[in-house]
Amino acid sequence: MKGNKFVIGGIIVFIAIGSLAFAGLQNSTSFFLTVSEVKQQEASIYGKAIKVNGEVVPGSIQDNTSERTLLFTITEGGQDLQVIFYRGTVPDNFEAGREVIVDGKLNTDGVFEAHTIMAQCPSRYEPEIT
Amino acid sequence: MADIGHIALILALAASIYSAIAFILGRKGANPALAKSARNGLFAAFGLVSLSVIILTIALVTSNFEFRYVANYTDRELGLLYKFSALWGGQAGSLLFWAWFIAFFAVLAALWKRHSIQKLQPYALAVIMGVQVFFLSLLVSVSTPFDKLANIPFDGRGLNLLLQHPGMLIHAPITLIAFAAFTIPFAYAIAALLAHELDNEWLASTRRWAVLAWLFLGVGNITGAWWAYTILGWGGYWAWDPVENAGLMPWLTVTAFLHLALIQKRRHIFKIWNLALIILTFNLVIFGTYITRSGMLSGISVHVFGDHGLDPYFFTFLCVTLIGSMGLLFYRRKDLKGKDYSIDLISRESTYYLTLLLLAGSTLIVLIGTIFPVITRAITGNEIIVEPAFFDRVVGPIFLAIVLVIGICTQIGWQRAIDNKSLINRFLWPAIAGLAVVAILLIAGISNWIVLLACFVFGFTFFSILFKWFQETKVRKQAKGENYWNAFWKLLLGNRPRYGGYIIHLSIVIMAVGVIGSSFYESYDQSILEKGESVIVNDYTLTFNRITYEETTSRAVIAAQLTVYKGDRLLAEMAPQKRIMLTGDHAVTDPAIHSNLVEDLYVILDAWSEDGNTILLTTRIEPLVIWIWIGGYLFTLGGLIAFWPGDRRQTVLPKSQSAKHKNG
Repeated sequence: MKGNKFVIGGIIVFIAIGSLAFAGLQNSTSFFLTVSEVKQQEASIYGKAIKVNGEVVPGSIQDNTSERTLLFTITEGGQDLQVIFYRGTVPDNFEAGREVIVDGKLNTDGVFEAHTIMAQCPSRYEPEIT
Repeated sequence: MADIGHIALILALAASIYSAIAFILGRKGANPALAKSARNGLFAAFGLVSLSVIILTIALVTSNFEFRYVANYTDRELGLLYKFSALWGGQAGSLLFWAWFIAFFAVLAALWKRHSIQKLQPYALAVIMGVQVFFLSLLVSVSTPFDKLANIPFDGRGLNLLLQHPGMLIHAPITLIAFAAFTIPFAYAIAALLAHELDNEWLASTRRWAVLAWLFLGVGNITGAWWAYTILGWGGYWAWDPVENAGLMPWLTVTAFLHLALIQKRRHIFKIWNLALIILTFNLVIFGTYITRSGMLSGISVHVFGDHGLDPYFFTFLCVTLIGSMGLLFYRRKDLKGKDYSIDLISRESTYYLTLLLLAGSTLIVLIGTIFPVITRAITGNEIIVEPAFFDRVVGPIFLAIVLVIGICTQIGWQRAIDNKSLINRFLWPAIAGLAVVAILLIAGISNWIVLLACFVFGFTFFSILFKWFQETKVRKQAKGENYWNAFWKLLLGNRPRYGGYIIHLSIVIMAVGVIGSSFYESYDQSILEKGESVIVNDYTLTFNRITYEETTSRAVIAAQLTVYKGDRLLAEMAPQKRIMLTGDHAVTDPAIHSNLVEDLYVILDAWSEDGNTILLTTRIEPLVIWIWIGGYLFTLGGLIAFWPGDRRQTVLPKSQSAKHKNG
């Protein structure tokens, strides 16, 4: 096998992987927006897969274990967004004042229906004692 | 004490700078005294970094809160081992640990007397010192572990509860050691380019280091997955998070290197590829560190490291190493032409080449997926995130193809010396074994064609390796008149890299079985339970007895006490928990996991009522997960066998004999 057969083989494999990747991108992407961006683009993003980043408004959390819903409001850039979460697992560090990412879709009533909540991890490297 | 640690690091930095310059000036035996003092500088730097590590360790285990680092990452109540683990638990500490191992590996490399690499030595050691200078510069300026507090607090903030887990004692240091170890092969690759010694010498000096780093990173990734599975409470072990991808990408490229290096060693081809792969591997490690510690991907990762102060430095370093090393490779490209060697379509060379393409392709996909939000922000202004499903759909099939190539490759010797008929014979039994697996699954009622296809490939490859191993043992048994047991052991000990490789490939298949099982057949339930109530999930019955609460000065543990029956049989008492850090104000979920070889019962306490009479409980059934960890142990074993040094003469001889035997 000479050099150009190598190249042809390589191109075939990369075309295969490329088309796999292209197909894989369908229905597996979501927009990542802030609350104010959601408010700006509201009409155009109903029902689409979105992740929204904002801070949980203190006092807004209504945890209703018996109905298995969690209601809260997130805020960013002076705009608020109401979120409803049909209970899955709430991250341990979910609390008022925390930056969170909600993953789900915006309903036409303007309420964001989340299927996943991720709280920004205070992580390994927390604010320090100074 | 803190000042001594800091000064030691400054002196180590000075020694490393001196050593790097002196190695370059003293090369080619122009100035033996200078070359000798360069080595002494390298040894001194290791001694000084070790001193600062010892000082920090003593401060950590004795809770000396004068050290800001100690106050930030430990408290008095923390167990001794976790106090010690805080050495790599914080930003500055992890960099110090990393730098320490670079210095340690530099000493090992400097002590290495192998004749064929002597021309490379000054360059390689200078490059290692250069990398060390970068880390030590950070440690004495922007990320110092030896800051002091003016007002010494009575107690520290404590270690994040997520980090108080055995994973912290294994995964974190092993991964950091792997990252440090990648410096050495990179240094020898650069040395080969600088010294214009582009034949196989650098490979010989690099392969073992690359195997070491590869093994550590592999174990690091698996233990990281196990850690995530046992503590995060989401029932998964891999989420294609940027942090995970950062550990996976260099592992894929170094895996490709380890295979292609075998071909270069025999055939003197793929020279550019091998240099490029090692250079890329090192740069991917730095890149991974950069993306996970910068704010660049803060929206996507749940465990992006909060401290963003270091990314400009890592970015600059990445640019310098990537452009510098790739530029050097480009500059030398004409001297890297391989021998004119013709490769058969069906040969080990061609299957390794295919493996390279698949590994490189999957690395590229993971890379693009990881930085997709950054790319789309630059192009469209909106960040678009790719979901884990993207990686599953794209990287999953590529990995399956790799497993298939492993099985094919095992049956093909070096060069093609076999006719079509015997080739078909070789593939016949593994293929029948694969079909037998599919038949069993069909009888068991499995109808998903993706799963059936995957399991055919797994069966084919697994038995391809086993049959091959058995045949080789049989040949030896007949040739030497030994019994099977002796033949097996002597064969294994006589060619450890080969049989270590067999074990590793088997372990890959075993892990893949676990991945398929848990990806396609997990089940999920979330229920509200009153005291005494039960929930039935598949054939498990879980009864909620009561909530228990325990508290110490800084921690609280809330646990749901459950009795679990499988069918009519009492299986276990399980107690999923939340642990709450009262001082640090955070909590972690400790799922209760009951494993057997078929499936894991994975129970999470989501929430509870104030009076403790009601809980919200998530129950997951995760089939075959345990095989990922069993595969992980086997992977480690195979890696150690492949890596373990043997008597050179003894290991080299049978290898060349067996090569002749195969070719003939």
